[in-house]
Amino acid sequence: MRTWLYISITGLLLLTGCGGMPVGPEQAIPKPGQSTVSSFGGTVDEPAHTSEQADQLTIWSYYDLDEWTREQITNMLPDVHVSYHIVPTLQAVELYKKALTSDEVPDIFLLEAPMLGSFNDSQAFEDLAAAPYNAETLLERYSDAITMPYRRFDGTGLVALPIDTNPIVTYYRQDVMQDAGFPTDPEELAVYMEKPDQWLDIARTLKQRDQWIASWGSYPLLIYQHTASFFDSQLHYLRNNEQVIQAIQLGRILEAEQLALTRSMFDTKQNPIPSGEMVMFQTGYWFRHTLEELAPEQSGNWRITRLPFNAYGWSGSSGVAIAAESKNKAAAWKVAQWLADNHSRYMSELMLPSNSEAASEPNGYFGGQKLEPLIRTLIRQMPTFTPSPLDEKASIIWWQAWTEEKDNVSLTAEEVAGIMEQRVLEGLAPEIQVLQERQTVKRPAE
Amino acid sequence: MQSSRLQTTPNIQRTIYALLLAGAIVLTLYPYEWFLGIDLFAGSLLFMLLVGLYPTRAVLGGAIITYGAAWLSASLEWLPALLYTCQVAWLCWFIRKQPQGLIFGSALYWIAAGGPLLAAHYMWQNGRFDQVGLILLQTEFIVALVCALLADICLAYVPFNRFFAAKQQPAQSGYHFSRMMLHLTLVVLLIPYLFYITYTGQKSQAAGVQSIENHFRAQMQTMQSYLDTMPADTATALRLESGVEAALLSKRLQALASDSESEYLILTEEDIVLAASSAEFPQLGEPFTWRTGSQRIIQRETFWQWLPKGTFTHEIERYRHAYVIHQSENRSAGMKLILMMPFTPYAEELLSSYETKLSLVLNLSLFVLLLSWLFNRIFFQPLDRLAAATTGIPSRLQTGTSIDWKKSGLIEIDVLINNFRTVTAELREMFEHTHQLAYYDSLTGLPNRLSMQKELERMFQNRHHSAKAAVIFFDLDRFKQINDSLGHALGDQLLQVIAQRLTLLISKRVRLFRISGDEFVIILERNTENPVETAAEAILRLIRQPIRIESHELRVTSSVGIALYPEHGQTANQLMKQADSAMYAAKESGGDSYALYTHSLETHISDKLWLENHLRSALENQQFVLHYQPIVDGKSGRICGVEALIRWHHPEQGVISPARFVPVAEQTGIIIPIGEWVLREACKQNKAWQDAGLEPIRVAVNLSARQFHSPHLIEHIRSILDETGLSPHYLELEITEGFIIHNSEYVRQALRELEAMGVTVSIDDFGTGYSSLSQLQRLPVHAVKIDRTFVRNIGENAHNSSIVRAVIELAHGMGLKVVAEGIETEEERDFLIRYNCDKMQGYWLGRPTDAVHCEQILRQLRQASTTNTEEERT
Repeated sequence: MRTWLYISITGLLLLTGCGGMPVGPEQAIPKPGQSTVSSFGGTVDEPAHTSEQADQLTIWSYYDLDEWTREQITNMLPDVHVSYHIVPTLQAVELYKKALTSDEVPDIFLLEAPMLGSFNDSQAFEDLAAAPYNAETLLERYSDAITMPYRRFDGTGLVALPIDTNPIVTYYRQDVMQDAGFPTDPEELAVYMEKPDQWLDIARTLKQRDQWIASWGSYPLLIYQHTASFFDSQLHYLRNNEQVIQAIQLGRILEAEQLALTRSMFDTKQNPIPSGEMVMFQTGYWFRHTLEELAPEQSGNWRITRLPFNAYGWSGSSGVAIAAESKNKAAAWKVAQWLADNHSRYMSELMLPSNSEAASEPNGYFGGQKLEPLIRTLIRQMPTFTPSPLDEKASIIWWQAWTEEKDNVSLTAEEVAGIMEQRVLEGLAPEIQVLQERQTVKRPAE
Repeated sequence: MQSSRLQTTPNIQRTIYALLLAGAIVLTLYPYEWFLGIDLFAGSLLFMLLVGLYPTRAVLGGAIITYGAAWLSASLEWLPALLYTCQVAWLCWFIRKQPQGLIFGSALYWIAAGGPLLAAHYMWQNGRFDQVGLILLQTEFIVALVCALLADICLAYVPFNRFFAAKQQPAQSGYHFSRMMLHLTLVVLLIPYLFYITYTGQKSQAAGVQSIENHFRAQMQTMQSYLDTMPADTATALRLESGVEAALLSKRLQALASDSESEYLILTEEDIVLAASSAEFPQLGEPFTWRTGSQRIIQRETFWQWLPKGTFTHEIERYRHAYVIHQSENRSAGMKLILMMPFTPYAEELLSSYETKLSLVLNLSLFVLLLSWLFNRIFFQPLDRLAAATTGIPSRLQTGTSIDWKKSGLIEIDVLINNFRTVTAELREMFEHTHQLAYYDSLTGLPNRLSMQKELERMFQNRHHSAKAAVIFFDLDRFKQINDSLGHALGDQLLQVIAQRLTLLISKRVRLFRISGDEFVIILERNTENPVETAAEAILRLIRQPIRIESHELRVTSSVGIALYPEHGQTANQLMKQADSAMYAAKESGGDSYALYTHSLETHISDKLWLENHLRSALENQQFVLHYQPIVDGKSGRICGVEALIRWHHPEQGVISPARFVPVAEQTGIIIPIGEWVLREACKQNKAWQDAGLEPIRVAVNLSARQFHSPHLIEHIRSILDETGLSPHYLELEITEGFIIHNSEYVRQALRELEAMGVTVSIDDFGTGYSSLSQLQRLPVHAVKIDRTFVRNIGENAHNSSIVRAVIELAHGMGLKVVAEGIETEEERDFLIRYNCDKMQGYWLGRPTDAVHCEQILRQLRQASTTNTEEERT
């Protein structure tokens, strides 16, 4: 027994004198959700072409795709049932959001560039710059002015791919201008309209003839809207400048002198274009085909030129996006890629140096005017911006402020512009702050 | 301590061992979680039982296997496993030293070794000793104490052997008061308090759970109402994982989180983060599964307790880094709300509460142990010492071991100690006196028979291969006659002188014993220088020398018998028997000589041994019969009485003479029951004759010296007379003159009482001893019987004739009757009649005959007498 005791004590002393667990730095202890200290668990869904419903594809669009395009898509996906859903342009964002949060999420969405502001800060659409799409290669030949609207607001990734690029242009009746004694040549007229007063002269003169160049009193602001975003990438407010003040002043004059038709040119029932009431308006280059269909009898009288006030902007540029929740991403990508490629080819041809004025085809509807040189010029002049996620909300506040303050004669245009800015910044202060914080984090170099 | 070691069959022992060990392994590998990851390793309890029931090797082996397995399976760290094993080893050792020390042993172990080592290990692992370390230490100590307490209670009060023993073993019954006090105190203190700790701990945990639930409920309501009132487009944007909305929501969550310890997350139904209250969590669009990173998730009623993965120095640390998590779903928004809160504040609160309670119970336990130790030291230890001192007092007194009577300082106990000391001192005196009486002869101061037997036993126990010894057995020749004639006092003095002389022989190798009466034994370690014959001759020479006592000069001799060891016997009995035989051989050869035992002696002395062996059975088997010899009246010639004479009718050896067996009966003491039988039988027969109508006559019965000196003599005689109905006048007791030679007070008193009773006493064999008629003058005797040696040829031997005539005349002068015995001729009868001898007895007058024949003679004489009377009348 004594021996056992000695052995036990000796063993104890030996064991306590050597070995054991070293004292190290504080142990890293995970928190809920952390598989290790540095990383949280879970897996990111890799973009994949694996399809859960490979035999169906739904395309939502705010305009109707032409037959040729549909035919191409059908040919491209012979085993897939492709369905199309057209939504009204003005309700497109709202309906798109609903669709994206529904149980049956459409696969492809066609969006106008400004609409992308409502989606370029969310995970609603696939990032097409990421694998497996790697769509950046498709945009290499484009300028930043073309591609920026399709990027995420933080500059990373692609929400959509451009499939149509449309500068905002001025459509006008050459014959009416001629009759009223104003310049008829597109460039001459554009130069003439660079001065607001001269633009007003045209409005005042044509009003006498029950002919109109503005749908609404806010028309100058509407034109301006196409030329700039509300915020830059750092969420600095951009719409309190001379152009906006000028637009406000012009708008007030239009309102005061009732120089606006007060009817939409897109009115389908009593459209003022065929009736000859609307003889000048500003919209996207894309409208030329619609115009032909809308007023065929006016063929040869219409011309296209750049915007008044020496402004440049986009209108009606569209892109294709793939829903993040799409169940047939492979087919969707095939279609998106084809659409983007198709446009890319068009743009390549349009922007080729060899495609000079001489090489351009005269447009019969527009009185033999060669449009491509103008468009090519305009595209090169386009402003570069990405619509902000706050644009949708800011627009509402901005127009609300305009509506409320436009008639307040005690306020100068500068003051109205200030109030509009203030309303926007106040109304969106939290959003602006969080976005600014995020942008600072994500774009430290900028 | 009551012996708890199992006294049962090996199979049952093995089965119980296996069951206890299996239980210990299970309880060690699957401990009970008490609170916050603190495990209670109750396996110690079963090991402590094993410690009390099984040998060290078996228990320690089991402990090494169990704790080794626990270490290998990561149930225990290496040090606790080692400490538990060492605890078992320590207890095995400790309770062998302190059989009741299981509880104190455990406490001592954890105070002196286990606790400090565990604390050192904790500090080594953590770099500090904090609240958790203290709680762990306290828990270990309390668990060890409770296990030891329960095990000790089981060992003390559960009669394991009664349950399992095939044959119940005698064991010390009863319980130790000090142990019971300790058990009672600790049970009363520890058990309720541990229940209290467990109960309040569970209550505290429940309260904590309730508090968490309330907190979560309030927070969740805030969150839900926020989500419910959220604009639809915001909700849609969130579902689309809008960065702005998500960031806004995160800010909202941060604001909420800043008011509390909680963390908030809002996830999509697919567990994608929409918003989080902390940048530590995954951000928008990233997946989040709160279950990830957990070692264990405990489901509560409305939330989960999330315990992190990782290696902690103790499970308590895991609880300290745990989270409580609540998850709910907002189906309308299609979102999940996650609320998380560190469990740390609750854990800290619980730990503080437990620490306070454990400290209290630990301090109280230590206080009780200290108190118990002090109480034990002050009160029970003196009692234990007293109990130890008073245990085995007889054997201590026997061995002469001194007893240490330590004082306690407590008056009551000291009084008790003093009483015991006094009693023991008296006992020692009594013992020494008894020992002296038992082992030493009071007369000579020599060691007695018992001492001799022990000496022989000792000699045989320690016998050496080459050891040689001799047993010399000797007694005095005719000592009986000396004793009878000169009295016991003189005989005693003679023995004292002889003993004194013999002590000259005593040396380292020669030991002297007086074993009885005149019998002495010398045990001699013999060698060539000291031949046994020399010793025997020395004995003879020493005894042979004349001895003067008072006015007597005595010359006595002795007979010496020698038996040699190892030649003549290997045992004490054998040697004594052989030496005795040799002594008888020496005696038979005429005495004053020695004889060495030889096998031929066996036959020679076998008769005496045979007689010794058969005398008792003869009495029991009614082999004795009485013959009656008529005693005739000297004047009338008529039978006036009979003398009862004993005869032994042995079924195989026929009639055995009294001369052959009476001396043996005298020597062995069987004479007393034989004498009683004779007296009873004679009285009964005489009464029967009287009842049969025969003329009443007196029956004479010889009393032996032993009978006469029996303290119950008178009582027995009276009883026999009452029993048989014989009148005392018809009984005559014959005693030899040796009985009365000293005229002692006892003799006078006995004779007076017999006379008063009506019994006649006569002196038998008168003339052969040293007595004289003058000595009879003062004694109430009625007659003297002249020995046959004087009667034989009385007419021809002038010397005898003058003696007989003088005796008759003197006796008659003193009023005594004279009876002559041994009359074998008519001349002898006539001579005696001539000198007026009162009564006569002898073959010529009538041979001894059995009762039937005697009755016939008596009847014939009666008829003859009647005829003569009638003739005379006629």
